[in-house]
Amino acid sequence: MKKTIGVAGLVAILALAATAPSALAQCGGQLLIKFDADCFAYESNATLSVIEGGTGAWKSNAGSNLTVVGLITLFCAPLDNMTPDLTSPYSNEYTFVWDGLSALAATSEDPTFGLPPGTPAGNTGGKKWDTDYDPGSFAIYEDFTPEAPRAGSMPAGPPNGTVPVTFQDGTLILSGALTGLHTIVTRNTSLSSAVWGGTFSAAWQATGGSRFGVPPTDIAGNINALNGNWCGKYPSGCTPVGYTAHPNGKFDYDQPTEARSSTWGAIKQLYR
Amino acid sequence: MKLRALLLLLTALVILAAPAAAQDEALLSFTGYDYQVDPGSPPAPPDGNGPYLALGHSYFAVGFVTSFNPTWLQPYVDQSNNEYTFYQHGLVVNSYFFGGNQLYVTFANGGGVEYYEDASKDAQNPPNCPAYGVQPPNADAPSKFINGTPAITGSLANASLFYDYNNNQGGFQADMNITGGADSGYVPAPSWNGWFMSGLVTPPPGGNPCPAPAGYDHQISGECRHPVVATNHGTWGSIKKLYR
Repeated sequence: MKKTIGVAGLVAILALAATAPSALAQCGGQLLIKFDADCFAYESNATLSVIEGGTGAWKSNAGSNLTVVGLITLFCAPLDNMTPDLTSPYSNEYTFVWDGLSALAATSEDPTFGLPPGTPAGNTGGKKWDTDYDPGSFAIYEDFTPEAPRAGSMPAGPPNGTVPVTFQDGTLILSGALTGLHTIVTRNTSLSSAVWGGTFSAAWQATGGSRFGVPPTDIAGNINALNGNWCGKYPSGCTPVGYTAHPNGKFDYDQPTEARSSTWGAIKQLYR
Repeated sequence: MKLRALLLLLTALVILAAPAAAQDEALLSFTGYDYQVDPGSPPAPPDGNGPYLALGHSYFAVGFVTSFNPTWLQPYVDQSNNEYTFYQHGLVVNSYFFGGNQLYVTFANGGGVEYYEDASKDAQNPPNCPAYGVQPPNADAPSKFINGTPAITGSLANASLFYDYNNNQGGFQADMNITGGADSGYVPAPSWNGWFMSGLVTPPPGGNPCPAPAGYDHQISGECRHPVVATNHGTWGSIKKLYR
């Protein structure tokens, strides 16, 4: 009896070890996919806010379609058997595209950001731009003939002959839905010395691709967080000509706890 | 005529020199968690009900570097045998605004950030979850994130943080100048200054296999980047015309 429980305990420990996080030194927590410098957003119908202090931000008009293209830099468990080549000449690339996202309404603009409560908006007041988007979709590709442009070489004026097509070729490894995308861009004053900030937050849910629902290294269909930095400063910011923002962020993943069907009889048998 | 030729040559040199500081380039990107240390009482959440990041509170972050500049740093890092960690510290709140369920704070200049290369991987702690510990500072953080070799060190200025409690998301941003570190020599000297460091802050996620470490305020994800410098396209003819 004790021996059986001991064996069961050992099996449980081994099972836990099997789901332990990747040994890759940059992984940890809920991080599943990280994208960094080589990721840019563009819209079909965005206009510039008033330039103050030499800078402004892009504002979506209602219904403006948002597309985001990017290169993945890191996969964590259970996708950690894929390793993006980060050194030129590149032997592979893992790219993604978000599309089908459209602005629910025009970007809202708060002219009192960064001011003490009660202070009337003035010449040095900051701004905060908020945008919500309708649900869209994402797709991630594995490509062994890398040709997608990177930061510093993004061709102007997307969509064009390079963007997004070079980000959506290869093998589709994961695709699904993006919901609740909310972006924020902030500027603390209207002066040229203003400090800019930004963030985005959404949820993702896999529904397809070669890594969806194929044990033991599959991705399940639960809903997880997608969030990161959203740099929208124009023109001396982080966006190439014709792009409206530079996201840098991550797909989080909460691994579902494995469950197996059994009977009470079988469970009792474990302890006899 | 000679003066014009000299001006043209000077213009050409300026144009050629500009990309060193003007390209759209990232130094490195990172993920991790942030926490605050409040010297007075009542303590801020999650330890108490005092205001978060009130005047005089200090802001910290620890975590892992996820990618490096492909030209300057990537060839010199070994992510198989080392962990690359960071520690951001020394930022003290010097202004505090809260209104409309939104927080905006600024920090006094004087903070710093260091990126470390460490073969012990004691912060990553494989095959277990990363050693963030609980209620930082603790026996694991920041100590396991600041051992090894300082690869890049930097000073922070004009730092600020906003948090929109209506949408439960926010951001951190600061100017960063490289001050040293073993890998700093790979970064051309003209590019040491003018980096913009920014990171997302969101609530720590729960879950499997690694629950969010208790006592940290947010997870962060961001990068250190040189802002793009706006440029105007022109022809040699139009440049020459400037000097006629």
